[in-house]
Amino acid sequence: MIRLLDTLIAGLSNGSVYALVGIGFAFLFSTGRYMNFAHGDWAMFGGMTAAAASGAGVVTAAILSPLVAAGIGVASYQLVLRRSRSRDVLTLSLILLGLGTVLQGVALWVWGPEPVGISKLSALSAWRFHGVVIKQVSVIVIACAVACMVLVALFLKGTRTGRAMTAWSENAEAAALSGIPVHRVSSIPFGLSGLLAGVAGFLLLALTGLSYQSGLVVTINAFGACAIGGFSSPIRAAFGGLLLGVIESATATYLGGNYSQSVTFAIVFLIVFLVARRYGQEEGDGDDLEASLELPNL
Amino acid sequence: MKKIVVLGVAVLLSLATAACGSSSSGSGSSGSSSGSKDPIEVGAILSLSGAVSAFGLLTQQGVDLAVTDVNAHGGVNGRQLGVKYFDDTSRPERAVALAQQVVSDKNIVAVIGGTAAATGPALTPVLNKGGVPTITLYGDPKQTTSPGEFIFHTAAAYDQHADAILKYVHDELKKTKLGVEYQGNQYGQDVSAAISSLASKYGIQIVASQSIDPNTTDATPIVQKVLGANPEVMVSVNTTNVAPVIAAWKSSGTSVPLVETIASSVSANLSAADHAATGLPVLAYFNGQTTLARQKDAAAAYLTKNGKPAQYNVATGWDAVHIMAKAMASADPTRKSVTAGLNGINGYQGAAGIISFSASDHEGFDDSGWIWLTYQGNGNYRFDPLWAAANNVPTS
Repeated sequence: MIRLLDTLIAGLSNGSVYALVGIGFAFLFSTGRYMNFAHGDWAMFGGMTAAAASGAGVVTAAILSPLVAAGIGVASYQLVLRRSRSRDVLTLSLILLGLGTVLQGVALWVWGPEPVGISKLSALSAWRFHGVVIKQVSVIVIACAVACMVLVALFLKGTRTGRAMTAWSENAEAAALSGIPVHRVSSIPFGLSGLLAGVAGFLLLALTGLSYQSGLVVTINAFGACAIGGFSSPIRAAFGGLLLGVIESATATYLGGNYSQSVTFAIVFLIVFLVARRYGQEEGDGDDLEASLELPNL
Repeated sequence: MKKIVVLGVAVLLSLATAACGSSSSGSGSSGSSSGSKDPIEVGAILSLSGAVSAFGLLTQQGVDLAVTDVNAHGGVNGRQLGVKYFDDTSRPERAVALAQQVVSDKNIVAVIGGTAAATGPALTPVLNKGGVPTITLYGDPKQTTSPGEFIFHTAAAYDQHADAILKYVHDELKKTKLGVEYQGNQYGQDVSAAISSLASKYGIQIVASQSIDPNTTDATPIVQKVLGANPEVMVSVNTTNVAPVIAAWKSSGTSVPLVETIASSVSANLSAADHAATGLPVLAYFNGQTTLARQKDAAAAYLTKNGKPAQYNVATGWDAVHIMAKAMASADPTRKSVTAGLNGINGYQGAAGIISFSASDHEGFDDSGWIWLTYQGNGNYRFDPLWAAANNVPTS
């Protein structure tokens, strides 16, 4: 029982980071059908900037990381994607991938190949209840993810801009005709997605450290969270991330870390396959596979 | 929609596969061969991009510094040394292609290369078959690798890592019950297996051996499993991502000591667990801050150029060039004469180890070349007091 609780807490802590990147990834997919293959690189760059500024204090670093990543997101849209001749989302997604590679190069050039990290959070202690270890840092990470999920939900449902974004994501043409400033609205998801990537980047900086190569694993985990929870709902993607973290942690504890990633992704693809198969049987085609991957409305 | 998701899966899979290298740069030359005609050309097949490029790029810096050092001291028999770099992008198939290219380039008399276990075992058979004397930089299990007539290993084999850990636990800590946490990658699996097979030699019992996910952010359940087996000491065998294990060990409140392996001799790897890691003993080849006499030149050269202490990949590059220069000194360098010269290297006092080769033994790293450090926090180390006392070395 103690091991199970340890595993669950560690899984939620791991999953909280996946949830944060999953929300950001799903934000861009749901609003513009962008597959942001640079999402992890935004997190990496925000985190590494925060590390460089950590001499000014942890709070400053924690604020800087999301701001930098949000700035990268907005700049990616306003300076590159918006000006691209192509409106094909696949082309734009590949442009994002290229921009991510540029970020890796800049990070390597500025900070070198060695990893960076900040240690203040590792200095926090832990609570122990009847053998179960609850690290204060785990509580902070989980609280960050929950707070971001709540804020995103409130933003989308409770603000005019959020509703405009939702309208735009459902029908951009109709949204434009109804007077919504599409270009301004469309840069907001990039900013928000970057903001969340930056929060995740800061947490990774404190939990494991980051190097210029860290982005790919983050992007893969964001994709995994969306594969489980659904690409078109940031909140459901967040739950997908939490589930991914728990599966991974349980696999590592009970089967061994050698297999945790392969088993976890096998489970993810099994879920995708089974749901897609069921949807295919019900609908007769697979044109909207993404809808079939979503968890029930939450 | 379906197309986009399928494309996403395809791109991520290809990226993950190519995590070992996304660029495909060819070769370039270091600027160290000026000043004399007919420089001696050495090839360096390193991972300068891709998954293990962090190691390859640092090795390249060590190679460059050593070439500058050799040439500043007159070169090799009056001839300057030049290095031609080849980037294997951390991919074995690219390493093989480059090795074939080098074999056919008769101007290259010798090779330094094989940054890591991902690429080294792929390129060495090609170079060995082509008769190109090669100094490798990667560790490998002895039982699976036969270096070959032209291949010379300078890094410790994985069973030497295991032996060094067991020796420290037995000789310095005087403990007999060991719990092992290891990373679920090649290094972690091979070293932990070697620990298990060699433990009886030291009368040590392995009470737990648990692997962790290499990318985990919270290792608490695995660390608790190891500690739950009541070891007298715990060892962490990781190549990367050491912080979650150290944080989990610290927050468990255990009194069981934790021993760290070579990844933790790089202070950058401890930066996310600095406080928790303070006081831990660390197995090391080299650390630019805390040096023995044989390590001072490499440490000083790097510090002067970069303003920060070097880590062990710099030292392995430095050593490879100096060993190569020694091997070339006895005759006009040809592939055959360099091979003969390398077979004659005996007790080379290198920055990253003490190296000896003979015609029958190309595993050059001597067990006496290990050092043990204690992490002091804020990126600082000193020699481990227990190891230092046993080896008559001052701790700082």
